[in-house]
Amino acid sequence: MRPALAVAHATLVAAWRGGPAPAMAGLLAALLLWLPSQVGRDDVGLWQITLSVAQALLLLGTGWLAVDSVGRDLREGQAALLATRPLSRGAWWLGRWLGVVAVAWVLLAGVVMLVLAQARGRCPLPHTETRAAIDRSLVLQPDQPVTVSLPGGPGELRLTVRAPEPLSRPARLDLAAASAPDRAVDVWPDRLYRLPWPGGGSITLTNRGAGALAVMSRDDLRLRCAAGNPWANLGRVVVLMALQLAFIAALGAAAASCLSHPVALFAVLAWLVAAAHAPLLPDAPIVAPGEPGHHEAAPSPLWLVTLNGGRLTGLWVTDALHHTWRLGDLGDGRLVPGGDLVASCWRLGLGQTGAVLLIGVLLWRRREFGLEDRP
Amino acid sequence: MSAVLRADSLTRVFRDAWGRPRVTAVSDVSFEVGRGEVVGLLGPNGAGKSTTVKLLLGLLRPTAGAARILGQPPDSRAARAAVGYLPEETRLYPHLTATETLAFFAQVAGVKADLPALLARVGLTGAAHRRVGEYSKGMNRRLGLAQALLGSPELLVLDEPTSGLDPLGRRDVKQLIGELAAGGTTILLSSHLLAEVEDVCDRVLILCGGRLAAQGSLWELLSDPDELTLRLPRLDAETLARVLAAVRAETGAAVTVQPASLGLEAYFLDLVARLGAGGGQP
Repeated sequence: MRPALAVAHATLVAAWRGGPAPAMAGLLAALLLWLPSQVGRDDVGLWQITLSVAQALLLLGTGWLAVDSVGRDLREGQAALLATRPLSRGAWWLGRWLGVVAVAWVLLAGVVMLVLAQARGRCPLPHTETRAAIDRSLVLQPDQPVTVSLPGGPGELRLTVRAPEPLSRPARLDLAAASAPDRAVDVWPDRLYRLPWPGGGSITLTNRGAGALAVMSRDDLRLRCAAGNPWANLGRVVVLMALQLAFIAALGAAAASCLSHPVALFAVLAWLVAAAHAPLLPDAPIVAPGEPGHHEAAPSPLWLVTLNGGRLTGLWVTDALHHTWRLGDLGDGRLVPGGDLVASCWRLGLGQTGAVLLIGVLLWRRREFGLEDRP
Repeated sequence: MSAVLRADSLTRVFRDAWGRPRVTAVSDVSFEVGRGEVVGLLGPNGAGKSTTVKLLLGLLRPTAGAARILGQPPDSRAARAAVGYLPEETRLYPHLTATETLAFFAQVAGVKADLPALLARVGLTGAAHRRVGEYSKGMNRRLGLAQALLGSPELLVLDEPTSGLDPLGRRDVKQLIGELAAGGTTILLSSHLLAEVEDVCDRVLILCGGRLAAQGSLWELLSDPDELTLRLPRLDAETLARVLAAVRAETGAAVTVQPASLGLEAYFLDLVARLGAGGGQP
């Protein structure tokens, strides 16, 4: 363990003295101090953008630092020197990863302190939360009520419905809460409706129109209501961010262990972009009414799943990162459920980060050093 | 004499991206280095010296053959604990000071070392707390040598150890090699500077085109059984003529007379020593 800690310490020192960490800290501080000063107290949109940019900077910076730390060892021949020492290659590689994670977490701590300072002063965190009521597409067949859990409230319901083909007139939808009378609303597809909601733990939607409708994602059905404790939510977001940073550090270090420096950097960037957009295609395309299976979520053919990079990697690798892309959501007052946190700890923290670390160590142990002067 | 380092038919073929053989960098190289020997690995550029060194240290895997350090595979922990390595290019961590660099390598190698003494040994006491990024190439080389000496290794592998050093530095390194060899350290020195190898090595291995072209002690390889060199004190012209006449009469062969030369390096070192002692006046 001591050699790994020594390598981690050297990585930390190099990052601070060499400039990347202070540069990232300066950028993040400028961003978090300047952008909120440009907005009013209620402008949560810019808060959301600020926090999203801070998250992107942290992830990109951590990925770059991980690739650079391992790539520099190889490029400048220090790897060949260390490989002749009685040091486990695995401990050395893990030490590099630990050092990068330490830098990232120190920066994250700084970001959190600045967010707290801003939240207590000019830009308080929104005192509302948005809960996704569904985590998969919901098909509303005519006159068939569908009930989903919707804890929280009273508050504001945000609803968008989708239709397979354009409607000539709005569709009528009955909304029923557990403890309140039904309410009928006329809705056009693809528009956002904001409705007062009494709460009650669940919502029943009944489509009174002629054709099928769908609620495609959790963003199509949300509830904004008074938040209990925004600091607990912030804590959960910070833990998720810490997990993301540890994962991206592992990914960068593993990529640099088997690819050249620019290619490894490109791979990490490509992965981040894919993760941010995963899944690239909707899970369940709506089939036109009258066709077989129109009332069911149509399964995607294998070739579509394969082509859809976000799904391909998303099913296992990018999925959790996509769903824990949360720092910006904090600015929108979105709640991170405790269940998400626990699931991410297992999937992203232990499963995915652990798997990438294992791959990185195996690649590093198999690697030859000193090929820079290959004839 | 037990072999500290042994190469058995070492071969390394580099392949292209399709796995087709591209270059045979080292081919069927076999030799042994005994305990306390100072052996020079010589060869022109591209002869395979650095590849051989990396194969011996386990940094590259041989296509055929095997290397052994103290009877162990070179990538075993026991072998690596016995080796100190100075690579051809020393690029140590630029953001650490010399003391921090040595402390780092000592920690990862799990050895305890008297760092100030080690820095003094390579002449870096005055720069111990400067960052390595501010070092000249020669100072980097000295620090690289210091890290190779950490833990008093049984086998020292030095790749171009005097590259980038001034004559004073080269003299210091050669003295250091002599001291280490006298203390029982086995040294493999890879270089293309023949004079350097001649000064410090007991035996040489000469690589050419990836093959071992010759090996043996300097005396075996360099001595000419048909000629002698006789060094004499300065003689006046009459005495010299008599000596030459006597030699010619005995051998019947032509005799060449040349004034003894210090050599440029010896002259330079002497001059610098005198300048230093005389406060800058020769």
